[in-house]
Amino acid sequence: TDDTAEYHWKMALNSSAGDAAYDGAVFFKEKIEEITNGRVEVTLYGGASLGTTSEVLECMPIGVADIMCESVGTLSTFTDLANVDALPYIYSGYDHFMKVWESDLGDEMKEVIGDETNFKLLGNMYRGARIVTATKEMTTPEDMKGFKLRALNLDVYLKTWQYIGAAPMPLAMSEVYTALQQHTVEGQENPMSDSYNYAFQEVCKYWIKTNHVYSANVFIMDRDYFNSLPEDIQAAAIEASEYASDQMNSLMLDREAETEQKLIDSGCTVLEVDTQEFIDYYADFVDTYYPELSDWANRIKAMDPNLEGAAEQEETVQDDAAEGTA
Amino acid sequence: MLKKYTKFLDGLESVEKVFLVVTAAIMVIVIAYQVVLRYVFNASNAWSEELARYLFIYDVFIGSAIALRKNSHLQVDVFLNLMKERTKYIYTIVVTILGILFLAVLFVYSISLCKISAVNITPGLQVSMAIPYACMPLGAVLMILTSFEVIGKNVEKLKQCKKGADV
Amino acid sequence: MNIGAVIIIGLIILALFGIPIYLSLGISALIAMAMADLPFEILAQKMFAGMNSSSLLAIPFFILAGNIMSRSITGKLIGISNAFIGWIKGSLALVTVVASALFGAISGSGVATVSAVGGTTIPAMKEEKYPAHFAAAIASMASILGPIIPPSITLIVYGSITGVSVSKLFLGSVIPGVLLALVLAGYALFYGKKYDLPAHKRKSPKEIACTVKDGIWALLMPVIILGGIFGGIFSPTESAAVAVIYALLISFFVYKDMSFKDLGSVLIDSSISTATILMMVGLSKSSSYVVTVSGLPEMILSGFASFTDSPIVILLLINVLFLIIGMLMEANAAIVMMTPLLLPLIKAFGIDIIQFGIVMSFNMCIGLITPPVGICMLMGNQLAGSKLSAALKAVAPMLLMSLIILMLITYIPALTTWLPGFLAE
Ligand code: NA
Ligand code: NA
Repeated sequence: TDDTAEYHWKMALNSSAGDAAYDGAVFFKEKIEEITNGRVEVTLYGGASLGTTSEVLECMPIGVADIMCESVGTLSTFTDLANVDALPYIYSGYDHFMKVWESDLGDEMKEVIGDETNFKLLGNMYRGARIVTATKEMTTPEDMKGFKLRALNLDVYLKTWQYIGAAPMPLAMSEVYTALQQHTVEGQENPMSDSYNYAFQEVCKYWIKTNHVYSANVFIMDRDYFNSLPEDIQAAAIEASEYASDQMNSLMLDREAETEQKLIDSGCTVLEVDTQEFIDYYADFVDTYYPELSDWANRIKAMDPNLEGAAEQEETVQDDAAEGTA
Repeated sequence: MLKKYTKFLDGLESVEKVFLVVTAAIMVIVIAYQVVLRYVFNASNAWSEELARYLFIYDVFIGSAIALRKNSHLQVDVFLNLMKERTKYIYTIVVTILGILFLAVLFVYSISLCKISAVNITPGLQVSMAIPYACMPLGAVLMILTSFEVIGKNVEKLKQCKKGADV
Repeated sequence: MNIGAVIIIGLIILALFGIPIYLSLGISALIAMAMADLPFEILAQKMFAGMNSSSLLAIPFFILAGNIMSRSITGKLIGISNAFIGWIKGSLALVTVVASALFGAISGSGVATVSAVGGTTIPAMKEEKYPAHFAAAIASMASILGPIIPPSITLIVYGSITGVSVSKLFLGSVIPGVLLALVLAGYALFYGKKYDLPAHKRKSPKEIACTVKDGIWALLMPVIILGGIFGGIFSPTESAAVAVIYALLISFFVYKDMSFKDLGSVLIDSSISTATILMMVGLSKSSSYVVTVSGLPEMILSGFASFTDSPIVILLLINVLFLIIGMLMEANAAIVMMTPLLLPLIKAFGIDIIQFGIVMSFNMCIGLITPPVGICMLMGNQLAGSKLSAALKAVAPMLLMSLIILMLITYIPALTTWLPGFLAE
């Protein structure tokens, strides 16, 4: 250990090197150690060696870990509002996602979710759109009926797939590969590069770019601890998180393209879907199941850069929101 | 005094056993239900596996208290077997006191953990994490209660041992 | 002093002094956490986390299924084995091996196997004037097929600690299990011939058919469990639950030899056995958290790396270490303690994590026989009422054979990795 360091931060990570969250954490570590001249020292603990996300977060106030890099949606066990990160088809694509999270709305969501949970949320990293990998060919919502897939054991994910008539099955990640081999499930959903790291190309021939969820990785710290830090350290943490975000956001698109090429080379079929068809299918999903998130979802949808006259719509919605709070 | 206490623990143990039987039945049924749901109705739910898992952990702590009474916790007894009867009783008393200290720490800090985690809601059953975590303070108390009996019994044996030696 | 080292040294000292393993784990973790100023809530949280895994849920179910089986179905399994191979010299010894292997395909524990199968065949062997020490030896040795042939509790514990697929571990241990069963069967044949042990009358095809018909429900049990897991129909936990229901149904309605009262006591026994294993599994998670943050694994790693870079040497050293530990410690306790420590080493040396789990589990199952703490050997010996020294002498050749199989699976990874990979296609 470094003797000059005043702050030894344990960074908890679910993943290992090569995964978006882990690599983002490496950028964060390098940057903050550089700007603080080693006053802050960050040790990375990958592979959930400090515990699962939920375990780490619930004991972060007492120091089981000092910082974690994970998606905003993992906070959903602390506040329903965090489900906004896992809602299906509220973004049209990467540009839309980036526009939202780099806007005031992005800051607002981080702030409000942070208020509810007493965490400090820093940065915003694109971790890749979630896609479906399957043993059969599917391109329309109709095809998805009866589709048996592994889904995260979280309410939003299960509802998302039930909504389209699929049969989601919660399974531990360690059992998914075998389950796919043995056809217990017909597919799974995850960001493309994560799916590739899990070697699902060996058991799933079809990679279907459903792009159903765009989720943001953030750095999560206990808010009281963050506020207790001297201002320059706080500023350094913010700067490092922004640096890591910039690095990862430009890296991930290339990485997705690279992965796609590797998939094609290994004989997998990468399928595009008509995203609009799915967006229309899910148009009422949020209002039906998550009315408390309707406002955010509508404001996100209104910021779609592809929308005609997006700018005006955005303004009117924000005006409505302002009136609502007034 | 010890007899009365043993009787009290006997009563407690019957309650624990009923709990074990009922929860084990629920665990088996819930997991089987999950299989039926998947194959017959092509559906799944988020709560069944979680319910079985938490009941299972409650059973571990309650079963652990009964195991303590039956002296069935695993240990390396090579060294123990070399001891004379008397030394063994004294040694068991010391170890049990050590156990009580550990369990007391577990009790205090698992309650604190329940408080810290109260806001964390489980994904399946949608209850506070404090509810599953509560099996730890519960188990610690049950095990401490059992430990007192273990000490009492060993003190008694020790006394008999002494008497035997005197005669 | 490094807090990871404090845990390991504390653990070894406390455990050797006969303090229950769970308590040794807990106390050494507490001491190390106090030294590092880590809050004790983490001990509680990690203890819970260590138990909070759906694959561990299979343990009480498999123990329960085994306990229900031992009442009724064991007799049928023995009857069927006897019908086919009873005419061979030393048939009862052979039947013991075959029935233990069949029982092993249902139950996950060695103790359950020796008490179920040995409990029936040892008295029968004594009646036919087999030497008591040989009866004890063959029944104890065959009982380690219980945890080696899948399903296996030791492998479930290993899987829950490492996050490796339990189904894959089960698949990987099929070949080692069958190898050991064949070797033991061969030895029983050899021994029966050499010492001219009694044979039974050859059964007529009609009699065989009758026995099989009577026992078919029992024989279907391994098919349901292993077929369900390997065919991808059930997760290991689900298959364990289905096994329990199946065992109950045939005990209640087909063989009609179980009452609700029996069921209650069987259930409670299973819960207690599970609790003793899971308390250790839980607390090992607490201590492995402390070991992780202490940075000790990296230190051990660099220490080993400077000493040797050969996986062959590492595996040999680890096997010797396990054999020593296996003499003193119960299998699951040893796996719980050693796995988190050795995992970084295994990964760094590029050793397959499935193969390693199976080698470790096999080694620890040999420990069920080796003195002084060889729980299966002690139980078998008690059932036979023989002199322990004589029984140990009788078991020695079989122990040697199992060590040869251990070396084979250590140095030929294909024996454990081929099947999980092959069935993938
Ligand atoms: Na087995
Ligand atoms: Na042993």
